[in-house]
Amino acid sequence: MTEDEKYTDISEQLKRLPKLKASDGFMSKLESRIAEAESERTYVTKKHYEKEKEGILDKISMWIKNPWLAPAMGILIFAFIALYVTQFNRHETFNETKQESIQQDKNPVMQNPEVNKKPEEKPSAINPSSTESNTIKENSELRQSPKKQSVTELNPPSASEPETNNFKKTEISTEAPSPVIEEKSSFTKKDDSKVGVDKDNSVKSKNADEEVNSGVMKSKTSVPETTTEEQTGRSSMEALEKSDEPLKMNVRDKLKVLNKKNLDSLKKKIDKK
Amino acid sequence: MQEKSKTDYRPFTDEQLILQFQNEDKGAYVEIVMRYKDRLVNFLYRFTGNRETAEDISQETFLKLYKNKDKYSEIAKFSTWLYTIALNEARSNFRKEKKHSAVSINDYYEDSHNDYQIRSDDYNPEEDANAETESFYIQKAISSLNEIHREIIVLRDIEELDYEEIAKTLDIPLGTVRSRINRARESLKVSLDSIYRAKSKNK
Repeated sequence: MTEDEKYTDISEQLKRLPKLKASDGFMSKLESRIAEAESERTYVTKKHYEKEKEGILDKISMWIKNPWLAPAMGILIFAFIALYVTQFNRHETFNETKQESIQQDKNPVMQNPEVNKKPEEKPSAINPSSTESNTIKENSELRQSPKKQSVTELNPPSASEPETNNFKKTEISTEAPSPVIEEKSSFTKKDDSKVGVDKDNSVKSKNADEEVNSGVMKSKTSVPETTTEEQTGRSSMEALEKSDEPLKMNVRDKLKVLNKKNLDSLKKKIDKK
Repeated sequence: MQEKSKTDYRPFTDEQLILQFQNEDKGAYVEIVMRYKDRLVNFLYRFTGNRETAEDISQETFLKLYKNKDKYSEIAKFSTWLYTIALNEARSNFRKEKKHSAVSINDYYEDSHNDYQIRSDDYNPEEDANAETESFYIQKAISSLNEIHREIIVLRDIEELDYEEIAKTLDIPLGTVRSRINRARESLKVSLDSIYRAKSKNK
């Protein structure tokens, strides 16, 4: 006799029990429950996603909430600031050096301010009375040693060679006045011989001043000489063109003035003749 | 849920349906619910003794199935898996109710408990089982059983699951199932005798 057979009467009684069925609203209730659960799930996932999306600041604020983390945070912040400052300074110095190097490359004359001042300071040192006398001096220099000047101008002064600049300075200051004086003296002598009648010193000096101011050397009035002057001027111009711009501009302007004056004087002479 | 799927799910087995539901076919889920809702409600009613609670637990079971559809693997039979969910839900509900209510079902029969030992000769429970109130008394007797006996007797004699299925659902060895069923039937018989005896006494 099996176990099931032993209790057939009870098992049959249980099997005879009426089968209960789900109520009519079972499905609708289940549907609403599922919808509720889904909305909850989306809310939870949204919250979870938002939690995951928490920024660094939120995390830091969470850390700050723990008081035992405060010193560590302080050290961290200090280290960060120190690192930032050092990096910033390094960057700044690097930029400065870079800018300086760029400026040096662009304008080497700026390195030595004395060189820039030269064309302006020169006349005051040599002859502070008039600026035109300077032009005469320069002209004479060009006549005497055009090549020399061009060479010096072709090689612009650099910061590493301040001695050469000084040498140039001295060269200009020493050499310039002597030919002018000589020329002046020769000029006055020739002028005397030509005029003959007016031997008054005042008149002489006036004439001399006038002619000096006009920038014309009466001793060199011949046409071929003037052409050589122009040629030397041109050659110096060419040399100047090759040199740096700031110097070039100054010298070019001066040479232009000189050339104009030379041309004017030549015209006058031609007219006189 | 409301969507009326054009595909006919009747030829599909439960396992095929759950696999289809795992592939986001909600029509398959509806078919599963339709197949099992009455069975589950009946099983849970016999287990809890309350229709509302039975419906509530069965809905919770289907909701769990909806949420955890991906947890099902083909290793187990679908009905076994579903009954396991339902039974776990019923157990947790039963424990909750036990905590909330100071008086249990067993307390209700406490006064007549001593009468279980005495069997009256003039009362035949088999005859009385034919009466309209038979189901009511049987339900009372089932409810008087302890949780372990109740669940195993409902699974075996009401839901008519085989021993292996019960073993898998309850996660106990087959021998334990057999012995437990015998003990559950014995205690049910005693319970029924006592109920009918009490009834006859009242008459």
